[in-house]
Amino acid sequence: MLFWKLFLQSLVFIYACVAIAEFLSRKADKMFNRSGEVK
Amino acid sequence: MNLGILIAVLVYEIVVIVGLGLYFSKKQKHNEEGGFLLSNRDLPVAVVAVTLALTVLGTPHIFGLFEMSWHIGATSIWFGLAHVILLVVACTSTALWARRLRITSMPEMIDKIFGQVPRLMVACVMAGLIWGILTLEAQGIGIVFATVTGISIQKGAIIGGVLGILYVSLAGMKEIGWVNLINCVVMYVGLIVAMIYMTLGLPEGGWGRVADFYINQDQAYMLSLVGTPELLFTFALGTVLSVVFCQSISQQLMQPAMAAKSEKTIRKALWIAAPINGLFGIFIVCLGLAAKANPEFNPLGPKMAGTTMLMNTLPAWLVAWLFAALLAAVLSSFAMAVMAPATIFTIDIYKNLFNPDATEADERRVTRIGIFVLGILAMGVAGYLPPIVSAINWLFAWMTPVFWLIIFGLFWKRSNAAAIWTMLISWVCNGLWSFTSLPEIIGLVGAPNVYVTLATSIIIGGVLTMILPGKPGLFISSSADRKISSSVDLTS
Repeated sequence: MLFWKLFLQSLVFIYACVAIAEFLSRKADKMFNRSGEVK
Repeated sequence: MNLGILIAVLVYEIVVIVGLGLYFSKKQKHNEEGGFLLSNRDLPVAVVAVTLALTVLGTPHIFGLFEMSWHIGATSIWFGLAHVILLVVACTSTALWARRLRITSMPEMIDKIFGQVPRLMVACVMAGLIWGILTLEAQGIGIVFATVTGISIQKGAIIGGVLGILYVSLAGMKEIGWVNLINCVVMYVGLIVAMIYMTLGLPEGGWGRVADFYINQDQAYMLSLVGTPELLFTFALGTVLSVVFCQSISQQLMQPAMAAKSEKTIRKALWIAAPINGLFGIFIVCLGLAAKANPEFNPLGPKMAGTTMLMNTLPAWLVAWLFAALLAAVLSSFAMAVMAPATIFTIDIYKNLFNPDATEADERRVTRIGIFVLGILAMGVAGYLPPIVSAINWLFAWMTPVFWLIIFGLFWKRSNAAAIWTMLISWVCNGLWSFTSLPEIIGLVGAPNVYVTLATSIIIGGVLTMILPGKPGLFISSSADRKISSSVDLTS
């Protein structure tokens, strides 16, 4: 079904983006030594 | 006019907005700093997630996607996916930087990096730009009302504008967040029920017949997310660049993130916000494709076929629900689009230039005045605006140089003069690209404005930053680190 095909493709794209960005962001934080969190 | 539907939806919106607004207004500690503008920086994951998702999910997602799906098919879903990339960039970088600098407005960040003059330039342009988006959202509210109830766009914009002002003026950021949470649930459940109903109501053959319509016309690419290479380059890439470079440093999107409880809240919120925003487009695009493939609605054309199909196919109770759902999507964007420029006015103009000792009560009063004035002005012009999608692309291109200057200023070098000249040159080029025959002269007719501002930002901004004197980037400068660390609490 057209709807489910587009829905699943988009869902995979969305979570792939989120996971990759989260990984890169944590790496970058370590690189710039700014892993501290602001309360 | 469908009076029953109009009254039912208005009662729902008023009960939710005024009820929650008054509740949080009474509960709010009135003298605590940042209470109205940033909800005392205490918003939880679910509220931050839906507010981030709905802030950048408005009129273009509904009417723009209905129309785009008619012309380019499923590739138009990239409009939604561009907003996913935007949320990813914001929640993993710019929003975290904004929190670490403990700012209330994005021009304040520019001040910390470059100084007072660039701050005022960005404040004026960003407030104007977001007000431009606000006028388009007001137009969108008017169109939603006009489509469902038959009243004029102007009257619809006024009714919706009043709801939008109530959405934000009673308790500020906290009210926006919690009303968004309820509206988001209503919106998604409504969309899913409408989709099931539409699927059951499709002519014999269902979605297979919709697909056959495009395949038989040799337009199978209309059913694919990646479409054609040409569409990917002109539409998908242009939209991603335009949306990401403008909105990821926009006050509108940053303010809910600044109001989050912690950085962890923002990171967790991304996992919810991204699918809420990105999947919305699938519903609209599929409905648009089904409307075009249906011989009953095809002759109505791209602007009317989708909405007319919904009105004619769904029962009255579901039309009312869908009306509430679409209104929720547009009103939430309207609320942040009126809150953001009012915040910029309060923090960067009123407090920065005229009353540095302003109390929380002063800030709240000035912000409310700003909300009323900007909201009423937006309602006034909503009926006389250009088509939504073309206007939004021009507006978005204005912030591209600010995005790159923030990157340069945080991680490379801070040059006040380079910042001022880069912004001025980029903005002049954006104007020339839109209002003169420059694109024809250089043979690039149809190229989006963001390509122009992106090129000027990187090339001119990069060269000027390199050759003009300046200080090391704020996040790589040890003295700046000490300054930031002393003003905020950094814990490893």
